[in-house]
Amino acid sequence: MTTATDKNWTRSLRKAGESAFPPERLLPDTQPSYVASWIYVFGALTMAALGVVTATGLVLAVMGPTWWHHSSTGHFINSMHLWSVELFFFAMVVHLWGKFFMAAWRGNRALTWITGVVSFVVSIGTAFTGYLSQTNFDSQWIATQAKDGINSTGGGAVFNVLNFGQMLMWHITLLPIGVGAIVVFHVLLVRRRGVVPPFELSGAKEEVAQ
Amino acid sequence: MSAGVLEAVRWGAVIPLDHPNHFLTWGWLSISYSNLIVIGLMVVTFLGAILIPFPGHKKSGEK
Ligand code: HEM
Repeated sequence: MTTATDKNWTRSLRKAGESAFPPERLLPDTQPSYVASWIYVFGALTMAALGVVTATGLVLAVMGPTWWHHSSTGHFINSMHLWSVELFFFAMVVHLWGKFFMAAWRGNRALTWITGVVSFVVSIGTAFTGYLSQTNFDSQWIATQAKDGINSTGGGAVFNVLNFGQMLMWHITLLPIGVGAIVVFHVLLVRRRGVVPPFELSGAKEEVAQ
Repeated sequence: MSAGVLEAVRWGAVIPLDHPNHFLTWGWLSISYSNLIVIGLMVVTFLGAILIPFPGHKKSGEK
């Protein structure tokens, strides 16, 4: 017979979730006053750009990789996809610089920084395979250049940049799922730990005491 | 072509993109002007994000 006190994985998972993310921590309605700065907007801007990238990418996936060559609507969606990627990286770099100068890995936040780094690297991979999915001379040129570099590492045996189907699969399934999962984890970590407090001003304590 | 498309084509021609990139070469450093401009814009945005006051927020001490 089981009782409520028995070990039970759904219950322990629920308890762990509840203690790590009580609703007011998961979706807070106030933040410390030092968060009232434009620099804190850039994480959310990066996410917003990623949202547009994903939405336009989904449309491109429905119509296929050559659609944009013969349809002006396709060209428009393709341009939206490209330019939101540009904004995504732009906002991400400003975000990264901000967190670097705040040393936002302080106070048990190393994993937040590390998931940021990984999301950056995986995003670059997604962009590179995107360049290979353009179905034009540009992508052919890039692929023939990249293959030599990758073959020199031995990686070409499993990751063949000349294989359009493989590159498209990486670009539209594997890597976006990776970026999405890492971003969710990254933002949950921010919620879990709360925003990092600023550096103490040297001498501030003495001034307050006076 | 509609007026909007014509306008876009005209603007596209203001910055001709159909040629190899121009590069700044300074000793060992070699960087395309387009990349340099984007890096400059990121630096400007970063400084703006730090220096421009966030709307609706009073500095501590102000009432
Ligand atoms: C896919 C790209 C990324 C997205 C969508 C993203 C999103 C966010 C968001 C929404 C926040 C909270 C709001 C804020 O402080 O801006 C945040 C915080 C943070 N991000 Fe990112 N980020 C990304 C990439 C990065 C990168 C590349 C780094 C550094 C290498 C990084 C490091 C951090 C750190 C350390 C914090 C925590 C700050 C704190 O605890 O106060 N992030 N991120």
